Amino acid sequence: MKTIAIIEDNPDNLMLAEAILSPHYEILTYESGIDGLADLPGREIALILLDISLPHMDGVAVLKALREDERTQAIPVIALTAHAMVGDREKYLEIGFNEYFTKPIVDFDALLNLVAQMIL
Amino acid sequence: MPESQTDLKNIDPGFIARLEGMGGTELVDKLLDIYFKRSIELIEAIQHGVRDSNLSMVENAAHSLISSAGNLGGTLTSRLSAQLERLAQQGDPAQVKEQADQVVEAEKDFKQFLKEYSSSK
Repeated sequence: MKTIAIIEDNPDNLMLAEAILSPHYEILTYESGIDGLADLPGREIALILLDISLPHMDGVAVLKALREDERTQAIPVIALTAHAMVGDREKYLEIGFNEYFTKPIVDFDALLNLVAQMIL
Repeated sequence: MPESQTDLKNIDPGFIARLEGMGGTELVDKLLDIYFKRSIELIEAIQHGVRDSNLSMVENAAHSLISSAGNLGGTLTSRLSAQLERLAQQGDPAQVKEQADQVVEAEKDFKQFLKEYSSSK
């Protein structure tokens, strides 16, 4: 099974995302960007789901660090965010995310389909 | 909640059934446990933020409540919290207070629904 990393500080969001994805993928979870960045380089990760509103180091800063590390720069990263205004998707793609998905996660199939499309 | 949605239902009762279908009653019970604890903290943070005119506190708590309530089908609470987050970012304390009152009221109804669901099992 391929491995997906989820970086998300809210325990309910983390639990729900893991429940949706774990029948199909191995899941690694991190409650902070700092923890994720410390552990992910060197692991074989097919995709990262990354919360934007993380404490201490937000998702944009985490993405920047992932892209600057040659061990993680090619991993597709999906932004997970509760910001869902018109133009937000384009903004996150411009920043360098591969895709974005809005929270709350109400359409489980949509998340599964997006992950399946993006995965390495 | 995406701006394109026009769902005005307070609660999506079928959502919990879908969660159960996916992850069983164990998943729902765990999510409910988390929500019952977190929602108290988040609502208190919103109320404290309004009282102290700390709009950053209101913004952060409202942001978290968008997904926490939505993850269990609390569509109105989620939508009102998104509006509250935006108002807190814009910085008008009077509007923030009015919106916060709506969030607190909607969340109270939602929590009551969840408690009734929980005790009916």
